[in-house]
Amino acid sequence: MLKFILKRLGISVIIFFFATFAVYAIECSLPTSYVEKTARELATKPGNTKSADEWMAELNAKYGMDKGVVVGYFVWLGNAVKGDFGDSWNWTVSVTQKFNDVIWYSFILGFIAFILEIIIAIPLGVVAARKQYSVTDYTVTVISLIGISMPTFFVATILKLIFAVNLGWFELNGMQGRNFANLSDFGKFMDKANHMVLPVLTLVIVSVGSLMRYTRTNMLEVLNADYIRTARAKGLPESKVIGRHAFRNTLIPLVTILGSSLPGLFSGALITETLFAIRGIGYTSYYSMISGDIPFTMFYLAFSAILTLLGNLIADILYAVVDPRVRVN
Amino acid sequence: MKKSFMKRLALGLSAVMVAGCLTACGGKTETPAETGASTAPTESSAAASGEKNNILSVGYSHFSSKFSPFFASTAYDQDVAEVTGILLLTTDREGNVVQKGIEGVTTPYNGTDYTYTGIANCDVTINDDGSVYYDVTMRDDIKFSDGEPMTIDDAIFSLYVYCDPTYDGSTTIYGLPIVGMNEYRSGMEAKSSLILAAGRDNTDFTNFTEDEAKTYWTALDAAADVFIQEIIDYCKDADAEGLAGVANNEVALGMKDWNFGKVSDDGKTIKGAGTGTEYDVATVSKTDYLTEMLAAYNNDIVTLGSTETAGSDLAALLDEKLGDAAGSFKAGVNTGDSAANISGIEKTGDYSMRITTSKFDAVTIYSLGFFVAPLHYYGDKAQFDYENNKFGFPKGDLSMVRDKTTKPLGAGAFVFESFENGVITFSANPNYFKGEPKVKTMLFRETADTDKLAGVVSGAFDITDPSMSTAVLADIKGYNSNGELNGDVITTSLVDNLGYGYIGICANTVKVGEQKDSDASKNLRKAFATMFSVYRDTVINSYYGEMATVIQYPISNTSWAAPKPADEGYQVAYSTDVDGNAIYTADMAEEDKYAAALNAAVGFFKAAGYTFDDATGKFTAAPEGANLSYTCYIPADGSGNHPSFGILTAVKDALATVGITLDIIDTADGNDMWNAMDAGTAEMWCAAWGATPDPDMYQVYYGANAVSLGGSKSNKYDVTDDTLDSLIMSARESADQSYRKSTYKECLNIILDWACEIPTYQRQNAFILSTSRINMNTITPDITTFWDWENDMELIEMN
Repeated sequence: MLKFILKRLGISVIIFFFATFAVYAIECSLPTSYVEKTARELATKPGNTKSADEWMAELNAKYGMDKGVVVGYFVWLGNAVKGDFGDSWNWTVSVTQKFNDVIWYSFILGFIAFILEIIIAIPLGVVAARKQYSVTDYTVTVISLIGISMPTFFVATILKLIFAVNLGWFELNGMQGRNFANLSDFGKFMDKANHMVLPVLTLVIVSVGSLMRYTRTNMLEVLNADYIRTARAKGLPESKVIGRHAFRNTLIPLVTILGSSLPGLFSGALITETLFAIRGIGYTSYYSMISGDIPFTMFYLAFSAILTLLGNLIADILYAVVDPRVRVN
Repeated sequence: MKKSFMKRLALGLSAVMVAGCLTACGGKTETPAETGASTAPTESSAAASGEKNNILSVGYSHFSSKFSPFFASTAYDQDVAEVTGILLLTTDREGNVVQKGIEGVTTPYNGTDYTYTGIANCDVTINDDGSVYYDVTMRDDIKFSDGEPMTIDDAIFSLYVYCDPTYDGSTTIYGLPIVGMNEYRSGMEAKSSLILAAGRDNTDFTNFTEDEAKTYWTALDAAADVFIQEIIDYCKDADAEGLAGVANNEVALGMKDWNFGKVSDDGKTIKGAGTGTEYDVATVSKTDYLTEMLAAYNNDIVTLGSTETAGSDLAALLDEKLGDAAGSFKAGVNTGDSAANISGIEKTGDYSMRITTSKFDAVTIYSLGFFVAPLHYYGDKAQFDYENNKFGFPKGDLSMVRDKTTKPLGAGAFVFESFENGVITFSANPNYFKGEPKVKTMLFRETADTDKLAGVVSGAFDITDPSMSTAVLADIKGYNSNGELNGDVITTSLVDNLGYGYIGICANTVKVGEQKDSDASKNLRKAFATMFSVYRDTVINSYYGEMATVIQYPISNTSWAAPKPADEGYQVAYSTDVDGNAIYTADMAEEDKYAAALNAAVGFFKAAGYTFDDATGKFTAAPEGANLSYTCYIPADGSGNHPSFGILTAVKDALATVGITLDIIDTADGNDMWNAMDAGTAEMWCAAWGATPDPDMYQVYYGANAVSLGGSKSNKYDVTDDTLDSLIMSARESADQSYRKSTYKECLNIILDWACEIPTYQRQNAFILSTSRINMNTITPDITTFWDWENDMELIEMN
């Protein structure tokens, strides 16, 4: 078992190395270069005496971009291993500080949406399966398909139009109201919660459908199993058949899929956060990327890579624990 | 059980809904009741409803968190610096510097007299020797927002930060001709200069290594070998008999004939022109020749190489020999050998200083309106000792100043409290010299541009600056019940943008033969210019509607130097044909104008030497150096989204009918275009200039900045015109505005004659205000490009 884990760990390290190298190489060749943009700005300032090329050479040296992709990557890697991810160019603070400032907003946003998703999707999925081809089933299916099909930016815009512009119940975007500074601590908390409602709603609407469909499919499969027929045949009440025999068996694939989406809570919701100006990791990385902030983008993508690899590693290990055949291979 | 399951489901769902509604209502209802009842400290119990109305919320695009007056670079960050800080000299509604800020200056604008006050006076004295004194006197009662009094030490500290050799912010005070500036900032020298200055026999390797010196001298000798041989060959051809007089040593002949050596009367020795050394005529070598050349030119290889050449350029040869290492020899090395202070900045009292410049320059006074930042906050008072050349921070180390970049402090109208959750919170500064602002809290809230208008309507913002288009204008009119731009919901303020749009043509790539300033070359460019200019009205109007106007001179309408339609000699750009006759008549229809323009363009092409085939009505051949096909860059996102795109497509179609091809390169990455312009390979392009309040033309049109010369490359058109250069310099060095205006008019005519820039549009910027929430009578009247709502912001009141 130890050998298996070590092997998987070794592979993960190699994948991480190549993934981050690919990301670094792409980052360095992006058309939006922070250094180039800054150099052009400086070169067009009144009174400036240097050409854009000269500024560029100077800034490249200053930001450590004069070493080329390969050397530059290893310098980054060397520092990153020591936990030094440098200072963000776009946010003027160190990368890790910025990350720490924003990650919890993303986590809270994702977590609330995740819980609501479970509360809504699983019961409805079960109901739809039990009453296959009924009006309830079709209604649930249609609604979930609408949710799946609508792009996030569309849902967000519609919600903003209805609830913020027309009804005026919520604010258009942002994380705090205009009177925030004068509120008590509880008031500040409620104000922030208020600003989270529309983003959470957006996330739930776009993601609830797939979980609902997944629950329904699995439930249907279980309901057609022999042991359900046996349970019914031996005269168990329907609630016990569904609640104890069917639903518990449906839980196995459900927990797998829910468990695998847990690391995703830390990766942020790029589109939703950007549209509602929620300053989470998705929003921050979006603006880092479009401004060519290599240190932050590198950190974020390396972080995502680690999350993904970690998720896979845990899944692999758990499979191995459950299924001896995996271990042998 | 069915029922019970459904019950549980219903219960669960309703719980979710209730939870959602609770949070939804929370922010709305709790404010007055909650805070009133809570035992929160005084700060929030003051948050009664009256206080709530005393918050001004401004919608902003994204900040970069560089709010320090030294390092703010984006316009939005600079706004934060402006709100929290204070400028030494202020400007009026027309962008002129207010020189008597302490007493106040009253100037009329739009029929009203306005008085402008500031924190300082600045007296300008032009001396007989051409040097200029700027005597600054500050008010002695100004306090920073933390209560600390402001003195001249703060201003001197700020100046030294701006002028530090390591300063890399966007303020360019270090570019001013202040006496002693270069001596203070120098101490950085190119490695190659140091190696040359040290000489061949140098043994001191502090600033460079022995290997580097060896590499450099080897390369230089190899380059000089070629360079000098060319001179010698030339001399041998021209003066073959001369060899006998120099003991048949061809090097000595080259030296003598090239005036680098004087042969003695007896013909035995030759005296070098650089060092004065006497060499034996028979044995003098190329190395000796090089030594003399370097000495004569003070080691300036660039000038030496281009002046004394008999073919190749020495500097180019040297770069070639050095290969990849060439760049490293041009890099600066800190030698630490520099002045301890800037002699042109003198403290003359606790509240006064004198700044001396070596010559008059009209733009200097604008640059002297810099932010006065608190020494005790950004620097270290203990490290300030004017007498002993200590200015609040260690020279060359701005880390102390940089540490405060995200949290500004100054003497402005508002105090920076925090930047959290995308909201900058300011509180009123009770120490503000014009009086404490009426609005107690101001918020700058980040938002996407698309949400700005909706934000004002929904109540999130009271003031914001949406990017305007015909669609946004229509939306604003829709929200106002009177259907106008100014109504019961939104008040719109439109002002000219400080800058203008143009189509550029590079003189060096679009020319006939070798001469870019010949009549033929100008006619070639005028052919295109005539075509571009005729389509401007229709295209710009359809793109911008009432948000922009077509301009006829390459200068922003906001400038006092911009020619006005009533001025004598004012005319539509490129409206005369090759013979100087008007192309258009007053009653011409649009379609007829297009035909007339094409006709005039054909005339220009013919005059440029193009061969026209009358049978087909097409040009069949271009003169030498010119082409039948040209390309024009336009950064229109690859989708034609650019105000000038319609002009290009129309011109492309029209010119195709006479056999001239205009290729349009619509690039999604604007850097492609700028790279081509910087490399001097772009032929035509569409772009816009940002302007400054002063109309100085040095940067954009002065010959020394021409892109082909490789210096600052800021003259993208490669216009090199001696008359223009001297006019630009004389206007720049004059303090007489009417003289400057007439001089700039001449400059504009020369620029138009070069046909390198076709002015297209003057765009307007807008900001919108909530009519219902702001007391509109308290917003500063007569808003201009140089005077926006943030001026007099201490007077703004909410309804």
